[in-house]
Amino acid sequence: MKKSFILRWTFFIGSVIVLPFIFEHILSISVESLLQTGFFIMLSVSLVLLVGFAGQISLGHAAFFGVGAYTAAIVATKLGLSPLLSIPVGTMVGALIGLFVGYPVLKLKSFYLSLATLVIGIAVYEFFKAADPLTGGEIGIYDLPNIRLGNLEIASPLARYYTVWTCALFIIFLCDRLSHSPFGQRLRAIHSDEQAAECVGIDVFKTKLKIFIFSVTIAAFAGALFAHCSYGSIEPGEFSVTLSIKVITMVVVGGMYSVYGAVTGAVIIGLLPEIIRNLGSFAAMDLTQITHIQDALFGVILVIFIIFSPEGILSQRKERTDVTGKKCLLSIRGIESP
Amino acid sequence: MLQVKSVSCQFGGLKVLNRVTLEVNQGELVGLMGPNGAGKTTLFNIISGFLTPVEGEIYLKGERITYLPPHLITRKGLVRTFQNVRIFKHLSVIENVEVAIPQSHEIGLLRGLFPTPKTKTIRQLVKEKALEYVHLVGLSQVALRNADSLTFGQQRLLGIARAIALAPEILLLDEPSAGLNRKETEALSEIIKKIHSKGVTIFIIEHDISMLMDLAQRIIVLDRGKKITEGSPEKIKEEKTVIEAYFGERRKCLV
Repeated sequence: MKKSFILRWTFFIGSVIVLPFIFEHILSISVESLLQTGFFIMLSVSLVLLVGFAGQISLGHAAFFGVGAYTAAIVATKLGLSPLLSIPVGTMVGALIGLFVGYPVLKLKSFYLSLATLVIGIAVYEFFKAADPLTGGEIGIYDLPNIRLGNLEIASPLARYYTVWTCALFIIFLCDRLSHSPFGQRLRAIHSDEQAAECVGIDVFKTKLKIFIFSVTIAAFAGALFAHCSYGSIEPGEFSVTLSIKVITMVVVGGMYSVYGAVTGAVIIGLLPEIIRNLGSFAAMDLTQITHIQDALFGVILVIFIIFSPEGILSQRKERTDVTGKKCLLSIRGIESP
Repeated sequence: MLQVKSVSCQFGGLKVLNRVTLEVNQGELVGLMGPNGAGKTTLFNIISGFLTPVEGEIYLKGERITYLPPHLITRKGLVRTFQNVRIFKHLSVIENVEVAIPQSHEIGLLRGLFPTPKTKTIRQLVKEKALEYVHLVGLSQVALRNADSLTFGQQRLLGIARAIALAPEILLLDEPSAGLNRKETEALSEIIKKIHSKGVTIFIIEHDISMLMDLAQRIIVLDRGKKITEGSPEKIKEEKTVIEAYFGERRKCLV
């Protein structure tokens, strides 16, 4: 267990370090495209706890990403706060809105919940577009300050890449830990059967609310980081329902029951567009065409996976039927197999 | 231990329970029987907090629990099982039991994220306890399998392991032998006796009369939402009203 943990994380950290060099020098794709994947990882890893583990399908994850981003951007530009303050503020506001939204919405079950979160996603997106004096309307907010640590300004694509992916790794670590804790077990119990979960003394509603707030807080943090550590500007289109669907696709593709599955899904879905773009430039298509093809493709991928492999690529359920593990556990406890 | 006072329940125009009053004393093993639709499971649902009665009260150890949510009733020491098992299919066998162990609930979201040395001790303790219960019902060989890969009989045993992991003072079993074969039923009887011998009060719905005769000290009979009689198994066996409830009156049979 411990050995596999060290191996896995050595692999993760190693690949995060070398990935930009492979991309830039071998594949000749810019580091900026990897930046986006880092945010995708944060979003999908936080969403998998809510959707995969607790079984509460939210289609409004992008809204909280947006709330984090806009709050941080507004605080930084209008109040002139440093990003080191505006990022926590954005995260907190996301958490608060998560509490206010989650409390009524989580009383709903299955697709009523999905529908409600979908509507919230659309409403927040429309708000970003409409509240011109605050959010800059369709144009959004630009000239966002970079993060400064003392004299060090995180400005170059590579520096931004490392900042974002370090945060992503930390979030993977936290979510993985949570998923293996008794709290994670309770989430899966709720997913299996809410009434039976009540019967083992689980406060189902409170547990759902906690994981909802946790999940959207991470999304808001990712958003706040996105505002200061990506392209220097944000616009409403980046936080539309399309993003929520994209993140759901990552979760489904990678594996509904595993944090590492969500990471896999995010990496695949995050890097796929780059490959398509490369193919597109071969076929001499213009950029808007490519974007539309991408969005259509996500839908197709989602449907294919839901039909043929609803548990995703990395399904934890296979891991758990490990025979040697069983023997090991029984021998440790000194219980002979009957 | 458990008092049900004049409880009625209504679904639309249908009166499912009609002023049912009964009592289960500390350390007793009481059977609840009655033909289909008599309201047995509804009564369990009311006691365990899934339904609220239109009238009447439920008391547990002298404390009113009528309008408490199910998880609080469970924490007060009243635990139920379900007729259709309802194990957690997204968890392994041992995890099914682990989530039920009260100490594991001490580890919330925050402690899950940032465990302390104490958290680790608790988790170790929980694992050991869970294995003990899994062993008690004879499932240690499949402890790490997915719960949904078990046979129906094994799932039923797991349901019972999960229930006793909650350290109940009173256990409500809803038709534990339904769908089991003879051999499995016998094994189940033994387990129920074992649990009872440890001082757990048991209230059990059962259709298998021979099993109930063997287990129960007292039997309560419901029919069409009313308690028609109660008494020792021998008495119930002879009771005319019970035979009528199950098979109808003699006259009707002849027609």
